[in-house]
Amino acid sequence: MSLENMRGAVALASVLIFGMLGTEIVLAADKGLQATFDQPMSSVHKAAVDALSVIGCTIKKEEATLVEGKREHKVGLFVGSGGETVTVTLSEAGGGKVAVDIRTAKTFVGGAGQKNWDQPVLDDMTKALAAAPAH
Amino acid sequence: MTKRPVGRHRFAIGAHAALWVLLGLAGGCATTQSRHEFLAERYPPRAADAAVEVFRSGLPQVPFKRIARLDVHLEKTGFVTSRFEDALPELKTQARQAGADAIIEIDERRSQVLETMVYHVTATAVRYTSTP
Repeated sequence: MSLENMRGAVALASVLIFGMLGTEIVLAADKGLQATFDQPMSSVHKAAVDALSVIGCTIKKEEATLVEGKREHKVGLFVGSGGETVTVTLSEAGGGKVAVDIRTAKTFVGGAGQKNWDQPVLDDMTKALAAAPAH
Repeated sequence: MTKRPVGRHRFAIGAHAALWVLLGLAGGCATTQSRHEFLAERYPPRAADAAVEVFRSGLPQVPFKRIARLDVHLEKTGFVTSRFEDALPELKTQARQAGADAIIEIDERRSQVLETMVYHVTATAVRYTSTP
């Protein structure tokens, strides 16, 4: 085996081992989606948790102004899916409103089977909060 | 003396092995996540075999109280889709754990990530306030 072939084999093996062990190289999050809701912080926080559940996230971090969830890895026939981390950051926007910033971070391994979930999360939060009475 | 398989025979064995691996991957990777979230007051769980009525449309004819939100999330790879019947057992399990008598306001959502078919069901668990 030539040196080039050996290097290629080592690189391929590293990617496979990282993938199998679940070790991830997390790529930078996207620019995200921002929105403002005329609802109390507690309602927006609950809507964020529910929205992450709808896209299949397991909640990994839940603080007063931050909710973070991760989608489980799925082995597939071709590329599989999952592994994205979705973060919703909440902040007071004045006048009783709450601003949210939604971002999806993908991983290096399995990136082809990953998706940006910012819009589906925002859509679900908007739907849930539209049904709730405003201030 | 054992004869070693010749070219065509070897190819057939390899093709069979590859087919079984592909079928295993296609049918094998399915994940289910579920949860219930009380809307206000918490209730004790019901027995594992307790009856749970399912209203895919309409509402119970007896007085009831909404007590929890239910979520069941199914993902299958290999372009395999899920049906409501696939989510129903877990939906009922979550309803029992929430202490509910019935499930109403069922909302189904579907999406896709390449070969992964995503199916999510949201519903409301209710408790009868008088015996039906």
